[in-house]
Amino acid sequence: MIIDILAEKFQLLNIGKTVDNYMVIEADKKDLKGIVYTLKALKEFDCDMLLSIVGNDLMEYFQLDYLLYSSKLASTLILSIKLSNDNPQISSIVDIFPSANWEEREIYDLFGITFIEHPNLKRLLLPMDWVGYPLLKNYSVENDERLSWNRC
Amino acid sequence: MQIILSAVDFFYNWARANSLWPLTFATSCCGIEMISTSAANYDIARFGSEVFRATPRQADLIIAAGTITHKMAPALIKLYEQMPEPKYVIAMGACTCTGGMFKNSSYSVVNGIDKLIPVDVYLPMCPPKPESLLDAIIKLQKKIKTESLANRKKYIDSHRPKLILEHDDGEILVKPDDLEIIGLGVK
Repeated sequence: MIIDILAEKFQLLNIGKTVDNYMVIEADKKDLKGIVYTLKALKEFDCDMLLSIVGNDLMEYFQLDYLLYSSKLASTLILSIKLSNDNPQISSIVDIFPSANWEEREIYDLFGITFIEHPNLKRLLLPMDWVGYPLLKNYSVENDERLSWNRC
Repeated sequence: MQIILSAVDFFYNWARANSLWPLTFATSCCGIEMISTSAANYDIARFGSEVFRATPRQADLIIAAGTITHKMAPALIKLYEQMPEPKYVIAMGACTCTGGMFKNSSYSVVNGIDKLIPVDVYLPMCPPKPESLLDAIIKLQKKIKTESLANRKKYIDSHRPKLILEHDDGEILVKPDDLEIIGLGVK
């Protein structure tokens, strides 16, 4: 039902289910803001909470999973988006869900994914002058010159 | 002269060793053991260290209880520098001694606080029992009792921070002009 409404407006790439029965919708990154806004405005789903944003480095591409929760239906919907490896950028959803602010900052901090129009996009967990993004698969502590003093 | 100095040393060291005031500095799970040590069961007050100070200006001893990350390191050095002389450091737990289980491939953990500040007593365990912390304090008291006012300069030289803080004001990492605006979907 939600799928039908969404499929009218947006191009959904893939629809599936996780093992514990959460609906997973895969969409293009340009439709992200539209889908999240529609899910929030839609009476049938009435998504009122962003549980989490999960970032994942899968070598060939990045995957972002938006866990959206509806307290009315008590159900979770996962919006999955793939990002290309070179210059990963995606629009921020802080203006729709303000709780996305620190989630997006953390993902920017550890993966280097840029969130466009984020109000305060700077590092959250690591020191401000840190170089590199440590949760990337090709990141290695041995290659980090900043940490060389740590091993002597 | 030597007799007078050694008599002064004795009382001076006796007074300092039996009223070591630690700084409230718990960055990780070792802090739980430190709290437990100060509570009634183990009663750190028996050794004169029950007054956990909330400010480094009033503390003699910093018990570095828990993992020190790279982001926390400047704060630790700053707290250490703010303490008045004479000051002592107990590295409590495996993380502060060597980096512990985060030693080999962690990007965020400092491998031992002796890279930042000088350490008087190492207490490696994960986490140490309250008895061990009491033992570390007793060992530190024994060390204090061997000091002499004549060797003051030597002490100060050996208790300088190993790393000098640089003044950094790197606040903004990504300037708004650097961001490229692409399609935003539905507005």
